[in-house]
Amino acid sequence: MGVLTMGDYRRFVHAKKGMSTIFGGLFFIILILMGFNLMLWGFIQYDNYNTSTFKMSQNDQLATSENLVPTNPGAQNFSNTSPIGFNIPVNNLGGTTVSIARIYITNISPTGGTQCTSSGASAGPCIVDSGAGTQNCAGNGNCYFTNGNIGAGEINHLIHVNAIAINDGSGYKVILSSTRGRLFSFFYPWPVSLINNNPNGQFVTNIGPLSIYFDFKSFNFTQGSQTQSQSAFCMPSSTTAVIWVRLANTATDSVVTLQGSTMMQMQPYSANGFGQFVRTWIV
Amino acid sequence: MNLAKWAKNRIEKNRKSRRGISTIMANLTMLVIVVSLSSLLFVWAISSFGAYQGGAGYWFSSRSVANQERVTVENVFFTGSCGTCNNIVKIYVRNVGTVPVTIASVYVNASLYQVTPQTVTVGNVTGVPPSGLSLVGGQVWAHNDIQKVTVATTRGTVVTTTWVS
Repeated sequence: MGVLTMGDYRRFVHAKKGMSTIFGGLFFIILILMGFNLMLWGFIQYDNYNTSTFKMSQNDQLATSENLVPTNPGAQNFSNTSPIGFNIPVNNLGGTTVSIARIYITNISPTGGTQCTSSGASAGPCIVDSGAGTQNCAGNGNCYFTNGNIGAGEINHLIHVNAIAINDGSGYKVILSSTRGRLFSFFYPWPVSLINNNPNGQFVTNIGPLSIYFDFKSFNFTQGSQTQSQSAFCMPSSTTAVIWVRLANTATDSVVTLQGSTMMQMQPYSANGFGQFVRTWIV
Repeated sequence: MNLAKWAKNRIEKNRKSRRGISTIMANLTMLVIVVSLSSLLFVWAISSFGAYQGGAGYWFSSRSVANQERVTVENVFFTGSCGTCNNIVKIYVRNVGTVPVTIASVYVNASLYQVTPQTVTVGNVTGVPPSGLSLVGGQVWAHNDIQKVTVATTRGTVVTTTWVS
């Protein structure tokens, strides 16, 4: 037992039976192994693809969870002498830390000066970067900001902007750009807020994503011997007046355009004027 | 009959015998057919697997890289080459993905602008083009109009944003 005799060896060497079966089997084993290898390769490729997709999906989720809210008055603590600068108060109401990558300041109502316009020192929007800055945006040296990392849940965080002040009377659009690609913007000077002053006199009309805020207690007047302001939409005639209507676009994915046919209509409330209308058209 | 005579007769009979030829020929024919078909199958499998690996590999690698692209249009500044010429648009694009991107083209509303390809590394921002995009064909932007700005990369990532000029 266990010893290969010469006879067994001869029989094995000269035996031809089953060789084709063995070769055929080997052939198909090779094919199956090749197919298996291909499957494994496909799995690995698909896994790599899924890994990158998952990673980017996580990044997108983090970017979506950013919720930075600039707060009233938008810009504060101005310093118009060296070192020139101001602070931007923000609340981080999102679920993740927000890092500001760049601040764009655009002068869209250059009544107080031309800085941050095409004719200003910046020849375009004022670009405020972190670190040493990249643009001498207001002619006071490179503009830069500090304190640009806002932790989740931080309230009244102050982002300090250096080498520029925006309290010259012009209207500025300020865009805070995060490192994850989100944009948070506000307008300075901060728009007049009627709602906060008279919370009991407010009502809102919603037209699609557009919310129109009214605060009828802000239209006050006195008559005759009255010593206390009355809440009404009535106002004396022949008097120049400015009426503010507060609009908010509550859509998260679109811009609202007021068409040329949009108007505000006012009706005199008197015996002589009743039935007459003054219409203000949006142009 | 001696042994030599018997052997001679036997050889002569075997030489003239035709029995078993068809079986051998059939076996040989089948062998040729099986070998040739197997070879064809082997060659086909090799080429098919190779082609699949090549095509799928390219798809997976290219889509995987393209999927890591993220670009954002941070700001668009509307200006002009003269005081009243509203014909230049400055577009600031930041790469917030994990791979470098190359900006291939820019659309302002429906107009295509083939810009010089600009590569933006991860985390950086660039103006596209750096000196601002001059609107062509006498186009101008108007105040308070909505302008749709689309940026496309060489890998096919497209980002569309709307801005008020």
